[in-house]
Amino acid sequence: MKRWKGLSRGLFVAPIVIPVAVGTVIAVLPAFGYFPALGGDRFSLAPWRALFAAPGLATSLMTTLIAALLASFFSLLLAFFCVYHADGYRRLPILRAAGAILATPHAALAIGLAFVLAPSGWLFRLWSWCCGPLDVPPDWTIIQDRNGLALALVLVIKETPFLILTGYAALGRLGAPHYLQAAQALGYSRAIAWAKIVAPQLFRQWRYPLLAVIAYAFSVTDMAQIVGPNAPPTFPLRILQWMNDPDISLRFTAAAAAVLHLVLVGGFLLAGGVLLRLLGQAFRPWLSNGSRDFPRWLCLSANVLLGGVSMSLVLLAATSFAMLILWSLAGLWPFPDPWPMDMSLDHWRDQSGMILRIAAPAILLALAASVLAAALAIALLEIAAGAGAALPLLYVPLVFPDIVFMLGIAFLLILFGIQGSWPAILWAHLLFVFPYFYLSLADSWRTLDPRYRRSARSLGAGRWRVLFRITLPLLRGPLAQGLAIGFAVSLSLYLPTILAAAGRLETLATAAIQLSSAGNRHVTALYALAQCAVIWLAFSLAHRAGGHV
Amino acid sequence: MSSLVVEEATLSLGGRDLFGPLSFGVEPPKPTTLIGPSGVGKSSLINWIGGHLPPEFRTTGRVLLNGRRIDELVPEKRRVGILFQDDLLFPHMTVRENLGFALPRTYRGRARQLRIDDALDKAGLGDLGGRFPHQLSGGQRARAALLRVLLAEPQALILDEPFSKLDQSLRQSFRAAVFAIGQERGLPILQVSHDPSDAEAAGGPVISLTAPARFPFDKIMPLR
Amino acid sequence: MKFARRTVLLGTLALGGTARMFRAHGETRLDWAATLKKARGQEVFFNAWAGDERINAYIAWAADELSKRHGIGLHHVKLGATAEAVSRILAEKAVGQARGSVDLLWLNGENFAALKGRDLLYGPFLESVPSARYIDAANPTFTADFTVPIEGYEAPWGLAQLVFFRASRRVPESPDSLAKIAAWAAAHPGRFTYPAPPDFHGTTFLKQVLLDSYEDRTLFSRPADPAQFPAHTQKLWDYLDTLHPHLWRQGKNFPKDSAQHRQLVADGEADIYFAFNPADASSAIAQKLLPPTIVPFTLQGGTIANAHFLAIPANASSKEGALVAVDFLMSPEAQRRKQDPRIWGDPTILDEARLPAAERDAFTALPLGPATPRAEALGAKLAEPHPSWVMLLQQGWAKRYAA
Repeated sequence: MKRWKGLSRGLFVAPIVIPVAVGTVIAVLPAFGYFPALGGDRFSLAPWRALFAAPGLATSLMTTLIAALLASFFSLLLAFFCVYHADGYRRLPILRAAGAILATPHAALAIGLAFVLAPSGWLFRLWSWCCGPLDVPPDWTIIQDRNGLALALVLVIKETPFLILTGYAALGRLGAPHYLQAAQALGYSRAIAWAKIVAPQLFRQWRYPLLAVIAYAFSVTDMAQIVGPNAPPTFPLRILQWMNDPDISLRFTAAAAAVLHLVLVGGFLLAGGVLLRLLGQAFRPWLSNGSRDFPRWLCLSANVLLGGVSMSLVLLAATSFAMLILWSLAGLWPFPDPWPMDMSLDHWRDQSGMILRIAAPAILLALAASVLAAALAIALLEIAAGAGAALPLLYVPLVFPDIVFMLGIAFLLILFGIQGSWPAILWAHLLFVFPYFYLSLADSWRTLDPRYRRSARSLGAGRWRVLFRITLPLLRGPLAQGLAIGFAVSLSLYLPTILAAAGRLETLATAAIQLSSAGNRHVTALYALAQCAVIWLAFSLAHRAGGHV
Repeated sequence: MSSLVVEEATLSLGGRDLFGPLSFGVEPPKPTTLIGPSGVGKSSLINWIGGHLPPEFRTTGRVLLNGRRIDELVPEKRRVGILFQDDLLFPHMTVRENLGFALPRTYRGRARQLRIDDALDKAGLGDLGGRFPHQLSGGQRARAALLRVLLAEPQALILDEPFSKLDQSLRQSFRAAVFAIGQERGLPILQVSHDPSDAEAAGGPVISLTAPARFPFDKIMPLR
Repeated sequence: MKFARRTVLLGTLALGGTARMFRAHGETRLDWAATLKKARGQEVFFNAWAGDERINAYIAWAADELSKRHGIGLHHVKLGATAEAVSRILAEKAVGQARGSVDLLWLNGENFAALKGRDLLYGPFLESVPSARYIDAANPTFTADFTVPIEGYEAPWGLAQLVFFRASRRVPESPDSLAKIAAWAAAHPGRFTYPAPPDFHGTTFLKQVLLDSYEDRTLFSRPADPAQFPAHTQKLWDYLDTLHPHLWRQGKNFPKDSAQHRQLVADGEADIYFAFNPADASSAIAQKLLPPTIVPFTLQGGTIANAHFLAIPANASSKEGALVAVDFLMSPEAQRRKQDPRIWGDPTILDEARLPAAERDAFTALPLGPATPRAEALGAKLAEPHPSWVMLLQQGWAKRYAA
């Protein structure tokens, strides 16, 4: 039995893990000078020397580190705060806001936000309109700052909702309400009971979402391109630059940089894990020391401060989104006008045919990828009792810079002559959709009371009947949420789509990114809105199908 | 003498009265038993006393603990200890830590440790303090939960069917222990049960929540 | 022009020998009738930068025409960067894939050098393409790309030259030399900037300053000598050192590319930008991305110019179809449409003198666009330095201003 489990686990994990492993090796080889098609047929450390000689490397790394650390820390802090309140009577507004922001494509949010905050942006125009006209925007660095603060801000806005939704889902599994009652009966206020009882358990449940958030913050390129600094740019962007440089020899440097990136992210996650553990140890005596009150001022100021920050961030996101709508309708909109000079549906009319044409295959692909991911995850959990030791490998696609890693995959596809075929595209999407899906399902699956299944079995239901009539219906919520997240992930994949499809499949994401390089805000906003609309539709369907999302 | 008094209590949900008006007093040494069939509103009543009633419920009446009105206080200020149906030991804490969680901050340093050790020893859990709840047997968990409630030094004890999930022999001995400790400390005890043997064992007054008590105007209002 | 990362044109250098070279590479002419026949029914995957919807629409038009006239299915494989297709070709080469996924590629400069240098291109084919008779084969622009001899391995498709644009309400007179630009920037702090190298336009600005600081530019037709590089570029760094304190954001931040540069002008954050397509501002005005008050200007000593090309990978699956597509895209009809500012506005590569009179008139009748300089007003075309200068310039810049 045990052997069978191991075997089947191998079978289910293989389609993800083997190509990832092989792709990684292929991608790593050039870091050590080996890439015969480029004339590198001997191993050497030259790529590393070139990498470390690159000017501004330390600055790039520092910016990336600061932005990622700040973003991870504040996302977690705000997520804790919001989940705490979502656990009370403010459930709906918080979950709705989080869902809406989660469904907005990264780049779209960054573009909208950049337009709100920049010195020539909407806030300054509003100021100019009501408080005395500005002739020219002030020459202040607000976005694209050197320390990556603006990047951290956008990351916080985008990543906190993911943590809130996964955290809220975990809350249900913890049975938090009953424990809170017990703690209150022991003389604890809700807030401190939450801090001592729910938070530590939530932390454990949050491990993998948190890992994904940190890895993303370290690897983000699309948002960094818009709100990150560029003299020098963040480290992942430099990898991208080296990778896309017409001087092909720089691809060796890019490969070395990607390896360095992987080591850094891995190292940081490890260090972060150790740090959290130490922090947990340090706080452990506090949990049981019997103290029943935060200082009141701390409670109050935390509420005011974090509440204020959360509200402003939501407001900022909403304003950014409104800007996208305005831009999609706007004609000329020069500084310092707070509103466009003229508005029309021209852009929508010009683009709607194209959008409809490329939306259909993109939606089909996203549906197929998320359903397939669901099937694979369910099979893995049902037959092999989860990914087990192979789990970390499933997360490689989320951690490794996709440009380097996907090149290895593209190699494999070309080798087998299936590049550009539907199975290849579907499978490339699966690499990214599956981990997210597994992430949102596995914990619920494991905490599902096994007695339901047992009693169904003893009532004479076969294994498959139990799966389809008991287990899956009971997990409707997490399943629907996973499908929606998988759908959204697939719909926004750029590089995997391009590489696996040999560029022959056009989706909303590829069109949005290609058109954004022309700097046409009208069209960029339009495609972002179209992408939002589809994803929102998916989330609201999931919401309907699964209770809460 | 310490007492828990409920005066003229009515509870309604969505415009429908659950019961009331209902008045009774609970005094040591004998536990008072609230008895009635499922769904009659027992849990709502004690949730109200404990302060855990969802805001959808509407209530009138008062709850007095030792002459102090508590129904308007936040739950943590009421000093009403509750033993729930499930032990609800916090899974991320050891038994010791669970007890420490309950023990007031007024015990510090060595006194604090001694108090916990003492409690563990008396309950026969002396060497289990370092274990996590899932490493204990059902009986051990029940005792640990009781210890935890008592260490918080409540002024009254509510038993929300804490014996219902225990097997017969365990149930009797645990019940006896709870009642004995309550008497020893002079705590008013209100227990909720739908099992007559619990009331018998308590030997105190029995309040029977039945349909007439729930719907005093059942001639006008249709029964559910 | 923003389609490739770096580009080059060979203007005035190495002129003597190049005309000869065009004939010297020994191309065997294809039987065009047979090519047309074979091409019918083929699917051609045209890999081209897709960042501009106007260009995409133009390619879609070409696809329709090719389907109608020659029964060829032209598919625009949309690229975010030309390097994406180069990567694919490299990977196919690495695993020995003979039926490649790229049939036709829009490229120039370094991408061409990289592919040709590794024998990854099909050719020579240019002489076999009938429309090639309309181009001036001796024009140095069409004999070498980034100083790499073309030798019939790519076909010219369009022309470009660095053109500056100013917001005329804030910059009433054209600062038509780099010195005047520096003086203007000093007088108007925070209003001038350029894209951060290694962006293609940013690097071009460095090259422009470098070339401008020399009377005799033969030095730059040779590979850069790393030992002499600091001395050779001293004037460039001096210029930038003086300029930078007056730049937008005090020179601590830069637009990431030409598109963002133009956006800054549109948003009123900067007053001058530059682009490679002379019709860039006209096109942006038509798309309501810029106000109509934008005015083009060039520099007195001339500006860097280049061309962009079409090439067929050695492992292309539909070479005949690709050849027929090249012929069509070079044809007077397609070129005229491409130059029309209402459609794309990309200058033609055809030599008007070689066109039939009717065609020539049709070209002359094309409108210019509201902010496009006349061809005569573009000024001298400066040749790109040897490619080896690029990396050193970028590194030097990063060390000084982005470390």
